Amino acid sequence: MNNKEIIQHSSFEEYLDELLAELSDPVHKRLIQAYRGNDPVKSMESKLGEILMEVLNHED
Amino acid sequence: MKIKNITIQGFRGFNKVYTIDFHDRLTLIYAPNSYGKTSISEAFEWLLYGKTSKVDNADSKEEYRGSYRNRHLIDSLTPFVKATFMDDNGNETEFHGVLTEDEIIQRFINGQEVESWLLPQDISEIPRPFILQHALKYLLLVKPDERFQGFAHLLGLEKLDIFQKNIVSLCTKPDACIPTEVNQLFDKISPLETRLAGQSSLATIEKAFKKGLAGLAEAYKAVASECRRRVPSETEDESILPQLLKIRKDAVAKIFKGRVALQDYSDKEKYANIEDDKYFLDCIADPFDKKYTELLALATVQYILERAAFFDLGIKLLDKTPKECPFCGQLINNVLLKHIHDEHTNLTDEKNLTKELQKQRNEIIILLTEFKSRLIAYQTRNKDKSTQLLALEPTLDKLKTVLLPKHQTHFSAVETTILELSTVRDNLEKSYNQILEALAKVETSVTDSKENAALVKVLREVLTEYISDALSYARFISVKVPIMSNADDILKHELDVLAGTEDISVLVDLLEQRLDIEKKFKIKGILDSLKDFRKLVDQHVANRVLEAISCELTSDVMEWYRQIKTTGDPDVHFNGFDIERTKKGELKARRIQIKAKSYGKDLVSAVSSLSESKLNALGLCVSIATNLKGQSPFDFLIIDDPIQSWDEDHETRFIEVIRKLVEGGKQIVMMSHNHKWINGVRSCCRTINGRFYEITGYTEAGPHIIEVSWASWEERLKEVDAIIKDETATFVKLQHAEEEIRFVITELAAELYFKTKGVKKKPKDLNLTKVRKMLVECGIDNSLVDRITQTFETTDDSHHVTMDYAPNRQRIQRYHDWAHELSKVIG
Repeated sequence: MNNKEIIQHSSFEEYLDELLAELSDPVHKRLIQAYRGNDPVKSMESKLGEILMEVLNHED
Repeated sequence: MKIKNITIQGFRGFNKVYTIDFHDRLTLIYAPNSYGKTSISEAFEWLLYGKTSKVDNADSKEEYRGSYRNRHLIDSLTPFVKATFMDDNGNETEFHGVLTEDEIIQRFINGQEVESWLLPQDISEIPRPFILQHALKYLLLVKPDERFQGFAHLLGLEKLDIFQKNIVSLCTKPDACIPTEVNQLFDKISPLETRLAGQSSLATIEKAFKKGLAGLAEAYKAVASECRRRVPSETEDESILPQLLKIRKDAVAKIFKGRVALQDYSDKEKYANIEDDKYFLDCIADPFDKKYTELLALATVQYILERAAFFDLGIKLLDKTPKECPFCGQLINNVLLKHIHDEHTNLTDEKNLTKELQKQRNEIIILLTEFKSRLIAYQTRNKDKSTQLLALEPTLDKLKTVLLPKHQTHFSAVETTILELSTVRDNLEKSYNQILEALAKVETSVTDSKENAALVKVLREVLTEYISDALSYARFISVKVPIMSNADDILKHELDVLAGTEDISVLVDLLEQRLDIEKKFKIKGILDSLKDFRKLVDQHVANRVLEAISCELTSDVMEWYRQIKTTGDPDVHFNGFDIERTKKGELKARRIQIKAKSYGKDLVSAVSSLSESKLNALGLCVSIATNLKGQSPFDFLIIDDPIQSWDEDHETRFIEVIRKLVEGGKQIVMMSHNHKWINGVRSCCRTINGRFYEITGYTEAGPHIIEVSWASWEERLKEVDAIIKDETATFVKLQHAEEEIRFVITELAAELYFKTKGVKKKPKDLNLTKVRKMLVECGIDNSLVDRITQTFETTDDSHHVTMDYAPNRQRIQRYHDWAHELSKVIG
């Protein structure tokens, strides 16, 4: 095995990609995108708060 | 990848360092119970996953704390597990796991530290290459919903399971994610919605609002229509709101004038106050104090300035009469003249220094002017906040008649707030006047050149007090704003009731708060959509799990189960998985039931109907089927004590399963406490040529492991004889016979050498050169040595056949005869 050449493949990441492709609501898409990363729950919760604040601060 | 060997030190049952080599196809390990065989499978599990499933599944993790380290390992040594793995091309990689003091694994690949094993797949997402008895029980003898978790774990779908739980949690309880500002918006709009619901004349608007964001345009169309009905027909569109406000104001003013208004500080005002507080304190801090104190020196040098002026004039006059005094006419000698000039030079230098102080005085005056200007603005900004509410004081009696008796609490709140606010503002005003006075004194002292350090001290003291009062005042305002706002809403409502303008008031608020209402609907729409989001994710995850568990896995499990099942079995068997409820997608509906049939009839539950042996068989089949499913970097399977409560027929059937797995390409490492059965496995898999270990004892040093010969040379020669005689023997079989002869030769050579020289040699390490040397040393006739070494001519030193190899029956017969001849020498 050549350690440097190995790129880890994650079927869960692939699953999220598939789910993203099926979602039409941009808010839901952004929540799923936020789920990726080291602290998915915190990241997703922060993203929901951020989305709500965006609506609140939108001046149009 | 397959396992080449494992080295264990101080882990679980292993104390002293020990290495076990594995056959690339089949390795069997026998040990009576508690001799440490499970420690081998646990060492592999821990090395790959950083924890063992026994600890992972334990209800109380506390009971397992410290259980990885062998209790007898001396303190100076560190427990570790090291394994060498081989890929398809024979490349080797060493995985080395060190158990740290806080029970965490530290990983090294080929000596280099890594965070995780560098493998082509995330190994948490693929079935673990282990079949462990305790895990099988956990999988089957649990509630159907827990069984679903077990299957998810077995199929490497844990991340998916956790993902769904996280989404459900977010979508059903999003409250914690809603920012305070959003909740404030909701709190602001909700009372208006309640008021709208109370206005029957505005029912059309309310009906449209109930549709949410989709009904907003329709609602505002109705609002426009209702507004127009309430203003004179000639009113222009842009004048409708002012007109409504006027109608309401006029009607209400007949009852009461004024509002319970206490306006909170805007962000801009808060920022300005913070900046001013800092400016004031910085301004009267050390640099100012120092500069001001320096001005005190100006007073003392006034005399010097006057002397300097006098000397200037004297020197000027002396220019005309250098020998006599221009004032009295007396003669001046050179010494006196020099003294006069020196004194003049000194006074000129001092005068220049004084100019700098004069400049400083001007700067201080500018600074004090700016200070005063900001102070006035600061005071006005703060004072204005309470002006409107305090103006209500003379009309409190009138206000009382409007609010009482229904709203006694609110009235009392207003009354108390006005009283307290007066006090707080008076304090502010008082300290403000004090600071103005102190400031004026400092200013005067500078302009009159009568600086006094005590004046600055007073200024600093009153300034500190003033800022403290200003902060208390601002805090008081902020605390009272929501209370007064509620009271104002109540007052507004009561006035609307008394004036008959409730509907107009609602319409005005709908118009004025349109933007906020729209935002609220948008946010509510997002929060409502989380229900659909959750449903979609539920269904998506369920489909993925169903896809993994249903058809293919069920048929695979059935197939393996059929292979274990014996003809003599009563017809009571596993009949697939029931996952109907899981199809609904909901988290709480996820469950896996095990179906069973008894002579064609469905049974209520397999778990309650199947015998323990059948459940055990089923658990094995589920594990095998999931392990063979999908991509995995692991080409090995470690099976720990699979035989539980089985009769002989089932045990024999399972040996065939093992053989199939090996023939299918899996490297099998199997451990058992059943000596008879594991010998049966060895015997039935004789031609596979695996490795066989027996753990013959256990001491505090760890298990005592010996390697046992896979087959005796007599057995091997008999098999070769049978193959040679078989006219239908295939190419593969003939090649196998030739390899077997070489096994026999190496074993005979090792045995002879031990008998003659007393030195033990491992047969698997011997090749042509070594065998020849050993036979010569043992005094074997040269002619037989030459013939024996010919048996290696079709292989290389690694026992691999040569490129041009082709089996030849006559040649194999000759090899067979020479091996026989050698065996006779040994006797």
